[in-house]
Amino acid sequence: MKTAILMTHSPFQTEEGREGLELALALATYEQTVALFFFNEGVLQLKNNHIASDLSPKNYTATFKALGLYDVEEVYVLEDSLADYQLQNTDLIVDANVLAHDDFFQKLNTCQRQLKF
Amino acid sequence: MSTFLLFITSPPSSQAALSAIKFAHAAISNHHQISAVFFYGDGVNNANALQAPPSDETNIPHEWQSIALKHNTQLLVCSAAAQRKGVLTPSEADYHGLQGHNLAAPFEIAGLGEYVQLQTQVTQVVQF
Repeated sequence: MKTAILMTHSPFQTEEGREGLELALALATYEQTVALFFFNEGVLQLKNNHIASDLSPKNYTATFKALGLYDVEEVYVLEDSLADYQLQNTDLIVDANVLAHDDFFQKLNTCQRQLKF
Repeated sequence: MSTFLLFITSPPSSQAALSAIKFAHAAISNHHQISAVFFYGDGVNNANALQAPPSDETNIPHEWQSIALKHNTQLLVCSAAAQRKGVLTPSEADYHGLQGHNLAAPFEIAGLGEYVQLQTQVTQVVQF
């Protein structure tokens, strides 16, 4: 059984991003297969070099780099959303699979559990 | 018959929080089982006992209370989220040196590990 964590919010405006990441890591800790899906504003969470020190005591987005240590290999980003923010794969903090619309949602459809943040 | 785990991330002020209660009633009356409800993120505020809405509006903790007692549904509240957002048991309030506690009965504090275990046991997880 695979769990999808859908990330749709920008990183620091709300707490959803951090909560989604914490749940993803908890699932991985208990050896559940997890895939993360970033689209709409959610892609901003993966932008590298966030300078968040003036906003929040903790920049949780650095923790995305730990996903590999938890054996979370599946990180998908919607190509159109990246383009909306003029970002490219090289601007991202992790090695993610940037997918076109149909491929992105096809991957999502392989997940039996889907939780949106 | 399906078994459901409800995953509540919406605050009590949202329509989604009310929809979750309606969904639970509908599922139960159609002979499905709501094994547990897990409250995470802003959803933990649904377990705040110190809510006093006008009498013609829904009292969310009371609604969950009645579902839990009648249908043996576990009400689990994420520990980390509850502490961040100020939903405390007497022992947690004591530990943090705070005056009040407000976790409604029979909501229980739980870890994300319990959510993970539950989601492997049920037919469906539905998020509100």
